[in-house]
Amino acid sequence: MIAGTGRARRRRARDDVPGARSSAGRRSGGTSSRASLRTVGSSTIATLVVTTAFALAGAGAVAAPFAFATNQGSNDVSVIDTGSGEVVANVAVGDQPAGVSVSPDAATVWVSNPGDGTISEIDTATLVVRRTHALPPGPLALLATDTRLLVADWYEHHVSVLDTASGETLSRFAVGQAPSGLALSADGETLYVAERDDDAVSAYALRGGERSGSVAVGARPFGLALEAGGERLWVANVAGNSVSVIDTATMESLAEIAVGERPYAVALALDDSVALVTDQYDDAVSVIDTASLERVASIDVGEYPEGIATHPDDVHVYVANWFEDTLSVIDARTLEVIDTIGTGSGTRAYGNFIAPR
Amino acid sequence: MKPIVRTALLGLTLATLVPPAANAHGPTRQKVSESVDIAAPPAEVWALIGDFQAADAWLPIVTASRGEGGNEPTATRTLVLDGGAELVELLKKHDDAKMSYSYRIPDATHDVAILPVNNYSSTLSVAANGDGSTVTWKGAFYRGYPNNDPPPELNDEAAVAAVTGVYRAGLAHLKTLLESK
Repeated sequence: MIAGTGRARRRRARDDVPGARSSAGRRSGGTSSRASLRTVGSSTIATLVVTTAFALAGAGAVAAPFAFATNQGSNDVSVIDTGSGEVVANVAVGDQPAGVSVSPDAATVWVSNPGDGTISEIDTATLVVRRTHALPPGPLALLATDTRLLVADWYEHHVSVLDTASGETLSRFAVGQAPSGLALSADGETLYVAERDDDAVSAYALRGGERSGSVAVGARPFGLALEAGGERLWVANVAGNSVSVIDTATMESLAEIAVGERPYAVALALDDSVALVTDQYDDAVSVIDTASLERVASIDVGEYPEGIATHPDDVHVYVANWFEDTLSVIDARTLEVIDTIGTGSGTRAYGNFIAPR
Repeated sequence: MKPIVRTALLGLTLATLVPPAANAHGPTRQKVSESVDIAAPPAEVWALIGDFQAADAWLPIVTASRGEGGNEPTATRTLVLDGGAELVELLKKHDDAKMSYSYRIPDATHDVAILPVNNYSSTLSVAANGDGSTVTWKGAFYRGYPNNDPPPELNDEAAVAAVTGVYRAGLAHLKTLLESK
């Protein structure tokens, strides 16, 4: 999750657009034109829907953000209109796509393909793959800013810094074993890396790659989420069946909270008042009150939930159910699943997969 | 062909000499889901397969099963396979009402030479289907070799093929057992 920009935009959007929540009301229905589009071929769908999106933008309507769900089994990305809850396109990418990160300016979606060691760069306006970047051997977690793409390599334990304009690798620095989660401080200076096989989370200066701190967490940390102010970092510990909360100023662990089995990733919602955690083996999402640091609920979702991300409205939380090939949409206020959306095969959506407004 | 063979052999040697850390795994988890329709009521099917400690009653590759804890979560079973190899499994959930149980293969006691997977989790369930039943067996797992360039017998395809083979053979045999009664 990109702290600073993404979450600031999310708040602004909610404050400025009183009707933002109406997107939920349209969710169940969808427009008749969209429904009819689904009956034609997939490439036609992409073309027609993009045309529709441009038409909406031209008319001054507020288009709902897209969600981009990476599908490991079908080697594509399901593009979901979060207003209608419909899949509007499936974009073919590389082999076994997993990680995803939408740039803060919402212009580009970056997708990692660990199966063939590449990164796909999708233009969010045309839904076409603009370029494919070779970055072998094992790109997995991604984090995009408007000018840089950070890529963690699962096998070789380093982070590459790409210039998003040229596609060139500007620098590369070593990190701990099996880097998985990435989070960037609001000032863009400090990168936090979950180092799965070291049972640690470390902080690195993005410029130069020097490690400025490290903290032991629960067993096998994976997904990270940074609070908007940057003070606390949330860590899902896959084998520890817990979530660690890190004080980023001191790089000390404030708490380790028991959740369900095999927690994978974390998302924050409602002004960071709740943390939602995908518990893969429980087919559920744990909900933690971030003030009391207590687990207050468990919500049944689909089978093997993996990626989780909060909509820019800061209310709806999208969960990728890897085994079931669906997305569950949770209303963080009621803690109920309000929609389930079919995706491609083996959806992972690991990263910030919903475009900011 | 020579370089390919050499690479494969090198991979094997490394895998043998330097066993990877028990908790490391490949970048992408694999999944298998197999189902079979059986002309027998769900209760009858569950009576045969619902006991975690009695897999030898219906799984053709299992010659014997011994274990502790019955059908309670944390129960274990050791499956003795045709040929003598042993597979240790751990029960996580067991629900007679839902006719479903879920189990794992703990990596610490698992040999990828027996089944080329890591982090294996599985659910076996029975559902009504008209007058008969549908049995579904689902598995999620990583390949046997966690690092880059896995040898062919420990790659993603090998893991999926091995689990698919076990599931299909088991469900086909189950169907024969129940429908030939």
